[in-house]
Amino acid sequence: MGNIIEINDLCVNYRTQNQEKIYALRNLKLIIKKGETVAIVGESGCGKSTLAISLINLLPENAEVSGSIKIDGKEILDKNNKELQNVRGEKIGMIFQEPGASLNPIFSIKEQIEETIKFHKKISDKKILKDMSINLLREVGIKDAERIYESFPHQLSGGLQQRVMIAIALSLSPEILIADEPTTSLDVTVQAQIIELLNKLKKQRNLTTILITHDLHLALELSKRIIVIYAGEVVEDGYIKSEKDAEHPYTKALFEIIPDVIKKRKKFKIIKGELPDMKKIYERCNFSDRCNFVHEKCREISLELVRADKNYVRCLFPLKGRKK
Amino acid sequence: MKKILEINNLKKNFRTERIFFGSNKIIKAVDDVFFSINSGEICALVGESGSGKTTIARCIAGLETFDSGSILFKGTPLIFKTKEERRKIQYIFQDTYNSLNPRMRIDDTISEPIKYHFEIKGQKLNEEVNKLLKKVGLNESFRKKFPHELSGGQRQRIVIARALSLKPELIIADEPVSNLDVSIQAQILQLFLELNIKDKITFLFITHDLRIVYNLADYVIVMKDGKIVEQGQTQKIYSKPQSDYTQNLLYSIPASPFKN
Repeated sequence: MGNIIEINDLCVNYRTQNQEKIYALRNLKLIIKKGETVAIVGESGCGKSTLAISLINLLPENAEVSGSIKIDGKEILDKNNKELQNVRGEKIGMIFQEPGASLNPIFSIKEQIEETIKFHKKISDKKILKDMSINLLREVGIKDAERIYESFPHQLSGGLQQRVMIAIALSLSPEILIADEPTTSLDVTVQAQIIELLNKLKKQRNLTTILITHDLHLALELSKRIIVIYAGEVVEDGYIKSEKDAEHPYTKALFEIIPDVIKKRKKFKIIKGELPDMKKIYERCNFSDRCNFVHEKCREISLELVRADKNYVRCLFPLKGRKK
Repeated sequence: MKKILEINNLKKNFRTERIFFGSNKIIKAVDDVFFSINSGEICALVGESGSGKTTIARCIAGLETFDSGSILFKGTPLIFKTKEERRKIQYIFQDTYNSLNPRMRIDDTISEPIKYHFEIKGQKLNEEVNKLLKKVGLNESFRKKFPHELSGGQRQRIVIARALSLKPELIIADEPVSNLDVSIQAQILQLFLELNIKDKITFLFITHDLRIVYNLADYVIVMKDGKIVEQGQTQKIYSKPQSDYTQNLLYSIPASPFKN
């Protein structure tokens, strides 16, 4: 199986109004194989969403990009908007966090699904369009698809809106599906349903799925490969099933702060401090100020992503042995 | 244990607006709800959105009127006629950005309620504000800042400090951490636990995150469509859920250990 996404040395900076730079992504390297599912996990402000939107080259104007992103071997960072039309939607489908904000409130679901198909596939026959749309709505688990097809976004619940968003994302049969925090604004029960749906769809359509989330447990429900991002850098990349597999102290800390539901503790474990200043680049481990296993050396040199035991880890002293 | 809050037969209906010749529909937001909270406990109100959690909380805080039933605070019905009554129940909202006045410095935000309720000023007020900031894990340098200069977690700490400034006996926290990041969530929740243990403040905690509830709450109330489905001690609800709905909620936790 070939690589569908290759990211090399990707740097994204945002320029603020007072001409300061925020280094959102720093020399990011990432390879994703065809048909693979990965989850990108990290706190807010660490660059997860920047990564997602740079994959479809949809960064705002004040962003400066360098490095390369190849999708199916083709560079996308130097393409203009017109050339990107065959990437956005056709190659990569995307689901955003707030379904209510992503759907246009003055158009019916029918118009919003059909618009994409009309534009990209140049189909204008109403009957075919309707059949395609209804099939898509059924595929994302909407039972009374005919009624939803005619309704407007405000008439639907959050869960249904998100299903419609997924249907639109799939309407051009993309090979890659990016879900950026798809369940954060939804209830727990609906969240479980949406994750189940994504799980089903990725198998049926053989999708390469990228889930972006801050919830490690949610990531585990969908994906075996977990990529942990901290302060714009990948700090751990590997197959993680539980807390035991974590090799970077940050990943372990992320597991620990999720409250346990087996043993009642009446205590919440915390990671002290906050993200480092993203306006500066430090020549040291970015996590060192918050790390429980910090060593003097960690504050002196910065590190590359190197293999520790099974996973690739950016740490001098990983939790599991590094062979010397 | 003494009961701090008793709620009996609470009912609250909302009417939808009439559309042309149609009749207006009645939505039973809170339908015959009974529960009580012991003094010094953390009580969690759990349920999906639209189940009536927030409406109950707003009724208790006096932000909403109710149709029938009674709410007793330490044995006497709440009517909110006096300052003193308002002081004892404080409310923490989900959206920290909208709970703070963007034009007020943190200093004024925290000291305003103290001035009004306790009528202290000058050096004493100064000390009180510093003490409150310290209690929520911030330092004096925050006093001169405006809300937009702070992160979400810091804003929530300011909101908590403001609530604490009035020495409340009951704090209603309506989804106080759902807009925050996982690592910040844990910090804020730990703060709530410390306030509960050290300052003996009773909490009514509204959330839909069952992982949090298990570690935080002593007592759990599960709601659905305005009715209470189940209530009891946390351990009991989690180990032997009586209703299918609670069970379903437990199954829905990501990477739920209840599935098998």
